[in-house]
Amino acid sequence: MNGRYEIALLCLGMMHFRFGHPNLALEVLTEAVRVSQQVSNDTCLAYTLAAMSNLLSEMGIASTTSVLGSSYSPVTSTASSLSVQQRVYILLKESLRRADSLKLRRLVASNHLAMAKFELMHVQRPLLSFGPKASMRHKTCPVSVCKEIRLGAHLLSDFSAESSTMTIDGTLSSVWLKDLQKPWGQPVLSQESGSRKSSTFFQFCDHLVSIPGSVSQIIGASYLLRATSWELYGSAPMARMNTLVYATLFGDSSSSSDAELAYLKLIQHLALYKGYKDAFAALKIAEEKFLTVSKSKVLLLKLQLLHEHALHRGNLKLAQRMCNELGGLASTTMGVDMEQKVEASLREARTLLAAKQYSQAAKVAHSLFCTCHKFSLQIEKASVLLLLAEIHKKSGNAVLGLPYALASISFCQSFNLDLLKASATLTLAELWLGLGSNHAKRALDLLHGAFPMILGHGGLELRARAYIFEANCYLSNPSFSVSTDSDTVLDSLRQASDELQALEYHELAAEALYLMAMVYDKLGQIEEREEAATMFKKHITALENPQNEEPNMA
Amino acid sequence: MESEEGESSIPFQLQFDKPIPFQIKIAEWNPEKDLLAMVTEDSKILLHRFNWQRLWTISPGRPVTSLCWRPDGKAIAVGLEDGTIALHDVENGKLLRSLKPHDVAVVCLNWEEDGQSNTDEIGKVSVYEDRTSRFFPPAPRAPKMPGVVAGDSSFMDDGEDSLAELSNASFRKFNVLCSGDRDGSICFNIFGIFQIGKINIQELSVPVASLDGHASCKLFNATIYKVALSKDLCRLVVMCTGELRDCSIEPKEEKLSVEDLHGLHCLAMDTSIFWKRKNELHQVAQQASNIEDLTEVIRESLSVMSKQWADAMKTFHDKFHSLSTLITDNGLESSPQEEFLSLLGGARISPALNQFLVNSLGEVGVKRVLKSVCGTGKELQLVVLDHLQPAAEIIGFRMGELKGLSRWRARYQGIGLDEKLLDEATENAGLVLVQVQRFMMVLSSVVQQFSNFFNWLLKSIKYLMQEPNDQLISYNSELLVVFLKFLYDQDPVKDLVDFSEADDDIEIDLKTSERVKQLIQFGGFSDTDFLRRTLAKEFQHMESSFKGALQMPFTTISKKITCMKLLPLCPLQLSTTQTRTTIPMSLSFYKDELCADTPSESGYTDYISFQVPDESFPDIQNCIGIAKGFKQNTNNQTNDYTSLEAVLLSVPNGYHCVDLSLYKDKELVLLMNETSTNPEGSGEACMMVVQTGDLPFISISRDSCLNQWELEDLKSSIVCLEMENEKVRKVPHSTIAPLAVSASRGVACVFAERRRALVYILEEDEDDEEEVAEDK
Repeated sequence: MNGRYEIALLCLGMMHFRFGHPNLALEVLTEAVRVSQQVSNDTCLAYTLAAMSNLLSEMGIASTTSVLGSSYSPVTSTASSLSVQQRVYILLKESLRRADSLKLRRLVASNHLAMAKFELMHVQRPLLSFGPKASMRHKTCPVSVCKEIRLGAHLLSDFSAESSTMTIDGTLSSVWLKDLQKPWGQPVLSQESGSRKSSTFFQFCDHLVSIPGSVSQIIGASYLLRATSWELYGSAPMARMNTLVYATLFGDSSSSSDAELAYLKLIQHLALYKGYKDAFAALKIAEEKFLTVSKSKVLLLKLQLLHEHALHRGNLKLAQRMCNELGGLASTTMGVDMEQKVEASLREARTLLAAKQYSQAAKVAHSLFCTCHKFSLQIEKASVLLLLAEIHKKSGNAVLGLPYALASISFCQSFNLDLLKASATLTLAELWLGLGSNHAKRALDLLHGAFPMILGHGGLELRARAYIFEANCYLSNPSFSVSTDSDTVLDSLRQASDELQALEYHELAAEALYLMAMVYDKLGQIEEREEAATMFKKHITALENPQNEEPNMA
Repeated sequence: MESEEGESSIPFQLQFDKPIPFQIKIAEWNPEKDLLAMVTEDSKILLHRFNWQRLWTISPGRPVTSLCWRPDGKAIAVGLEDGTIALHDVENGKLLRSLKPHDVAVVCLNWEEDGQSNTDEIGKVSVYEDRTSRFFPPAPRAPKMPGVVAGDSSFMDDGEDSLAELSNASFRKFNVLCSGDRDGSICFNIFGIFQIGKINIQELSVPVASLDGHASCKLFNATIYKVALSKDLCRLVVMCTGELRDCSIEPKEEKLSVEDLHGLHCLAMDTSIFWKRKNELHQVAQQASNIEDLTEVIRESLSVMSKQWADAMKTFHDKFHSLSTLITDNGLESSPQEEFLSLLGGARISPALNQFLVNSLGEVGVKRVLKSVCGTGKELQLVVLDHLQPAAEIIGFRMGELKGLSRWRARYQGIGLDEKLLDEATENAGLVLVQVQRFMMVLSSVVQQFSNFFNWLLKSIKYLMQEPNDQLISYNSELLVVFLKFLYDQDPVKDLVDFSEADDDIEIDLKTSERVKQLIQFGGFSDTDFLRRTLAKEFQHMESSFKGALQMPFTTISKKITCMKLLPLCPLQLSTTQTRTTIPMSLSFYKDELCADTPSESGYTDYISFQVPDESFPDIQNCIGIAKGFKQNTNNQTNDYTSLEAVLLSVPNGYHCVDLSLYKDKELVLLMNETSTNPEGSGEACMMVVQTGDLPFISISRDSCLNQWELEDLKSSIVCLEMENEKVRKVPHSTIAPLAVSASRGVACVFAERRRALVYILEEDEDDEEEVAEDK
């Protein structure tokens, strides 16, 4: 039948993408665009453009491919000279414009969210980035991310204007009908129903929310996107709060993959800020909860956590195994699952670094950087650079590490990655101190500049590292006297060792306790010194015999 | 401008001599521009330019008791009789903010900026950056109450820019507004908007050297005259009256001294916490004052929504009330909902409902109610999306930042930022976020169902009137049943936003509460009952926990402000305390060039000048006292206040002092009236500038004891001022207080008894004069 062909193409394209054939999908979608234009089906065109931009932004295309045939002139006329990012931007803008004029509220909302996602990761206004003056502001614009997300949330106020949403999905009827069966001792339409206000509320809040599922899914996604953006920008409370808004209000009503994502975010948060014990306990619940979800990310997270845990506990063999498994989970096709692949090789480099195989680690990191550059994964680039700085720091080449740390900081600045920047600053300070104790003052100043971010939003490990480093700075400063200012150092060290206990990070904990024992020794407090020393020994033994402790989950 | 020749003989150039139609009681020059703010006897505030053009007049409606400028000259702080401090925009006089830190009249204000540039260069930007403006669009303002008269809300319109500027302090220097009231309380406000401390000088224990070591005294019945913070914010000098009593000795034994030491005192307080922790306080004040603003936005939004919705629901109920009366009139025992249901089911239509729909309501009626309810619903949704939700979001972010700061215990514990309390406040901010979203969902559903219901009614009416109804919007019958069952006589929107709703719990079904409980294991909100609360209650919850968290810094800072030294100046009769404004006095701080040896401590010396009341000492008449050097030497505790010096100046014969003011470079400007012989009052006055630096100060108070007025020692060494030796300018009128002198601009304004204002240029430097002329 006429008018259905393009829709079928759109569906086919989305299927292809879903099953991991991005190039095929792109081809089909391009065809859908052509047919939509031919039969002037604007609605379908708007949806197809949105699907295309979604596809392009997710799959990551290494170089300009000729896939975008010659069918759609506004896109393709410029397409040949534009990068993938720029094409995504154009497609989004185009789709948004059409959806707006056609009053497709849900499409408008999800396009706003896609735009927010785009702005989150990309430097603003890629279309204007030519000419000599265009490079003035190479920064992402978090304000417009926030604005786009808020615009997306406007859907909740005007969804009823879209006529198709007046048809309620099936869930509603079953919910309130079930409710009618419940005996609460009152006739269905009793006149006394107002006598107890609370009972009417009960009915209302849970069953009268007649928001269609598709709408609440988009609204929920906006909260998840907020959480993601705060993870990047570095505000731990905001990331947690927004995820919790999702989990509380949308947790079981909308898409299960989104719900899974929300719970995984919470678990990640737990692991970072509360330690592994809580995280593994929560993970167990989540595993049961999301058994049915296909392409589950629970396993991925579990491997990540196990890897992290093994690294901290010094069980490098286990870490290596987890790392390999992670790599195995990703698809073999290039250009798909890029995040997962990057993640796996980042972890590989870290494992090598922990095993003190510096040149190998550096090699992996270098090739990873090239991959990131090829697929223009800018945010990952910043963390790879930081990793390279770390590798040089650990290998004792502070001078070589400095440029990497600085590069990472400047990347973080242009992408507003405040937390990552703080941790890069910490590394930079460590590198400075590595150049000699006469740089202790500079290092301390750098550290204190990043302290509000690190302490306020950093995870346990980062915080502990910062505390230990602060103590190190004080101790290596020749003008610092332990006898008068011991409290400043001891406070930091105590906090660090407390936090590292929760993390079971033996190596760092041992370092903190060692320093503590040294300070106590200088102060002549033998009892405390002995206590710290025993703890130190305990951590060292645990570090040297990682197999003795059973991993919580394997 | 006067001729050049006049310059050499007459020291100060007269800019103009103009009549003013008011009696002025307070006058202050703007520190940055040539603007003079004045308060009239009937408490109007006037702002004049240097050329005497009036910029604006406002009347706060309550008696104004004090006034000062913000150090950048862009706002005026006004102290009112009821204890309120109001900030006004210099551009248009609009009210920017008002707070009420005092219970009684605010008699003096002093707003001081951190004079030093920040010493730690590294990390200055990153440590004290407020990230909010980078991540959020400008914060929302409170929504306007519909139907409010335009004039009433006018200050919200274009005051926005300056208001935003007021809250965004990240690029400003740290400053503290200090205010003293009639009962001896002194409040400290960072940026003039964030209350950080409050002390009462009556509760201070005053260290006084007595014969047997240090004794502790208290001031009773204290009233503050003047306060002044030093430029480095390390010290506060307070002029006050009161009775000094030794509290370690029983009052009976001390009877004599009680009588003796009622009078004018000068207190020096240690406020070095402001200097030591200025960066931390800056940060906290900035975040917290913004959160306070945003909670106001939320409160306002809630009350606007509650009012608007109540109006819409009233229209609805008014229209539909007649249905139930019709039903009873028809002798039926059913409810309106049942009638509607049976119409929906197509079973039958009762005459009552038929009559109601066709006759009393009609198509027009339905459309009207539809417009009222759904239109209001839309407006409410916009209020949520544009005001409530963004405000809640930014509050959450800022709380998170504060919480982060509180983790840096080494720096922030000292100013009382408590991690636990802030954790709780942040948690509550998160709960508000959830509540806002839930409210939005409820609201949207309600609006949707109302419009569904009305659409169905429209169709039914057409049907009953046997008109074609195919053109009308279709309805959803399932939603209709839900509406009739749950919404028809309920008002969940009102319940959620209404503040007055006392203790109704929302019941949550098992599944939801299970989920919330399970979330705890995922690090969710520990308060699992929060969904039972309404949005309004949740908001109040958050507000109170935030206030509790801020109480800690407030009390901590208040405790750290201690009294360093008290200097009893001169006795006063009890009767004169009522007319205290008659004692002219002035406080100022001058950079001390000799203080280079202590780089960390302040390099400022305080100068205190005042007229010694004639009644105080029988043998000190018509004199002016100057004391200087409340400098605390922190390095050497035993050597405290060695530099405290004082001198007495005798006013030339035939004159008496009207007012005085310390001017720059340790100069003192005296305004004196001729002791007039003819009662008509056409007397003359003169303005004199005295170099206090050259005066023979005498060191005092090294071992001053209780029961001793410091000035009595000086009576043997009174310095006589001679008209010939000083720079003097005759004023052709008999003058009255106040004398307004601006050290930064080099101008003085004198008010004559016959309602005239005279402005003199004190600065003799040619360049400066030109600059002044250009400025206007």
